Amino acid sequence: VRRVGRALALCAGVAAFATWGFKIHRDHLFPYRLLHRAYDRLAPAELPHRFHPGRPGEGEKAGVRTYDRALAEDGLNFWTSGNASIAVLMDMDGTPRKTWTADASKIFPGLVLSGDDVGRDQYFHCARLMEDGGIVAIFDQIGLVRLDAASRLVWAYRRKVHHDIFVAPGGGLWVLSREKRAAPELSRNDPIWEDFVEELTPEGRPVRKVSLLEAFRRSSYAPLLFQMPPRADVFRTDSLQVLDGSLAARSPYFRRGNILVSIRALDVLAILDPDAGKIVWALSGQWRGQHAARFLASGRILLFDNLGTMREASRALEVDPFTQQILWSFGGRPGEGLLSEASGFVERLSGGNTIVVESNFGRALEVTPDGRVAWEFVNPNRAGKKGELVATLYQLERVPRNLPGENLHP
Amino acid sequence: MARKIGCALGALVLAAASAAYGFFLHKDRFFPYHQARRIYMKAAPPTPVPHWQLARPEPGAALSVEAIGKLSNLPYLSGYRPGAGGGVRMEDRSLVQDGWNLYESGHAPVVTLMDMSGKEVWTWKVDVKKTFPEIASSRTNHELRLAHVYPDGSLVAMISHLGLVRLDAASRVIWEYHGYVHHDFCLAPSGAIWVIEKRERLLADLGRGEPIWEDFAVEISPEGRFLRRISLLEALRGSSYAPMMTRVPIDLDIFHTNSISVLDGSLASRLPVFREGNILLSLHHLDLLAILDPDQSRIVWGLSGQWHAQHAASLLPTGHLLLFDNFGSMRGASRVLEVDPFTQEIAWSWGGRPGQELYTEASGGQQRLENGNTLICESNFGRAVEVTPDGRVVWEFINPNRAGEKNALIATLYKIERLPKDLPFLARVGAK
Repeated sequence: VRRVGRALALCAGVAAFATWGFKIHRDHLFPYRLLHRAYDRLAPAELPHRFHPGRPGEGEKAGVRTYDRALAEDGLNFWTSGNASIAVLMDMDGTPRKTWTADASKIFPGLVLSGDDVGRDQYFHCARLMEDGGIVAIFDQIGLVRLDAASRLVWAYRRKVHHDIFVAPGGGLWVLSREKRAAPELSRNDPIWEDFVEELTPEGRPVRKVSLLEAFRRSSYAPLLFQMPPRADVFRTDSLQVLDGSLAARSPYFRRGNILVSIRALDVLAILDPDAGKIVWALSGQWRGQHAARFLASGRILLFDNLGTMREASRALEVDPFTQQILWSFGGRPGEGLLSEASGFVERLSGGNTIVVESNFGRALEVTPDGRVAWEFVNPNRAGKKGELVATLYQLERVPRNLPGENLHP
Repeated sequence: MARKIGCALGALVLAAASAAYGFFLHKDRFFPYHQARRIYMKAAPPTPVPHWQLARPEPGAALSVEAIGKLSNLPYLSGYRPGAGGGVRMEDRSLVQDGWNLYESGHAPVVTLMDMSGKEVWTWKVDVKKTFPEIASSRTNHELRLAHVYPDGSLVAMISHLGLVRLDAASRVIWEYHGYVHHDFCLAPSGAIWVIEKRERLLADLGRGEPIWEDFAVEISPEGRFLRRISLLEALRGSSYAPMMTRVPIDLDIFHTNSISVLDGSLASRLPVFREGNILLSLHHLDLLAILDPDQSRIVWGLSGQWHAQHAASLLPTGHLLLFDNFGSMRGASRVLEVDPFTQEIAWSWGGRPGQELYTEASGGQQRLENGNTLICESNFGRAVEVTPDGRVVWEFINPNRAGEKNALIATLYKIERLPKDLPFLARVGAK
């Protein structure tokens, strides 16, 4: 009898604890959050996304691999990649013409990086060439630096800037930044990253910042906030473009000074009115995890759609913001191998060709409107024992040969 | 001593292992999660049928604690003036769109036709048990959800989760169609009927081992014969709007499609996706309005952003979309929205402003009338209002079908439709 009693007690105990475990997960009972936090801390920190496995066999053939002079548009190539905090201006045949570099530890003394931030001081996440031959560049979530043509520091702005820089015609700068804060109003137990659009003077002094989260909450597009993922990084805004007003006749939303942003975590393109601090237009549906959205002169939007095919293929998309018709695309079809789960960049050239950057494979293409490859570049910056890793090619822009800075500082 | 410590340690390890097993039983659906769930689902009492809702209280009446809890998030309650009990309150005879009112409510499987003053002039009754004997083994809700009346006084009515039935003016059954229909059906210009149906389906990539509800658009001939069935899940997944699948909720009712209407092609010159015969759908759980091309079985257009958990989408002759936005204001108020499908500009809205009390958690709908007024159905409060383009209420109807102590409950008003004054069958049957 005693044995049976013991066995029963054992069974009851096991059942009770199993029920408790079940409820820990279902109802988030104690110690669910404790476990969750511990898991977050123990899980391997997100690797700095500076290097990724390259396409097999491409290491030996790095550099400019295709150059069809008849099809490609002439110019110089300005790019940054994950191997080092260097911006490169490169000829069409792959010869470097000029480089700029900066040392984050000297510019931001006392900089200590831990956790996910380790390595963010080792590369420029984004850089733009300035009219005086200098550059402005982002150390991801560390700060913005302005260098002259000889890479001397002009100014630095310490802030968690990320992803993109827009240079306004007068030299004023617009960047994306973020701040961590508690968000009980969103029923979030853990803090979230709030994304901002910030305006800086050409001298790097902050003018204003507009919260994108608040801009959504104030607008008729607030229902899109239901799509925020259950992570801290609720928006992951990754591009911005200040509109010049040339499309204002088509819609008041496209007025001069409004800002097109790409919000990866919501799969949304949106237009911010920075004066009203409000989203005035937004579109989603045919892309996923997108990057680098830009209005073209035609009024269409060009973007890099990382995952919208719902299979292992990225696309460059040209879409009409009103009819939603896809008027041009490259990627995801036979002969159009293109995949970058993160990052990615796309730029329409004046002659009609398109630069498409497959960032994680460290590869940039120039494609014609009918999808032929006119120029192809694979990042020669490799790592790993056999060079199997390639440095992420964040962006590659085609710039005119006759840049003033280029002439001043040959 | 050592044995005791060993015993305690063993018990501790066993307890931890048990708790961990329970944790993963829920997290990763370990054995016997699915088996237990199936038994539970069979044994659980059927979900209460929400045919009745708490009515808005009369002014000055004491609110029950339950009612206050339910109503506390309604910002404009204080401004609400109910009619005397139930029935019609006409504000301005010169501003209303004259006609007949056809409504379906949660109190009984009947369709009621009433005049502008609220007097019943005709009713149709569905004998649900006789027409759909399968109800005997069913465990879900079976309300008469909506009906379409033909000029000869016959009608097609939907009984949720059972099917469609066509009745003549004297409520005799002409034909019936059996299917797991829900929420809405509509008539194509050809006379064919498109109805929303659902079916359980087990998929590897959705539902985590449980069958999900797959929604279909089903075409039925005017004589009630099945013509074709199009999976909305496959239509979305196979389209350029496939990224919208990332919005599918953990809920097994992945789309909860709740409105269907066939386009007349009036907007096709601006964009081919609006061609005649294409089908406008409202996908409640994705906050998405979508257009289905039934010949390609593919979604060809979609829009979301300014509404949440919407109902009753239709395309107006003006080229604007009209929809009932249950939660998009984010302030506990529903709205009727008229939206330009290209610029997304909100051309007109009603609800959520002072003097525009409107809230229904479920259902809801509206009809744009010939004179430009809009007839709005606030389903859960059993109320309908007709409003002018400048937002004035010119006609109001409170469902007279009440229940509970002090008439605290009101029957859900699923749908109300204004029919034209000229209804030939009424003269024939002698109704006044």
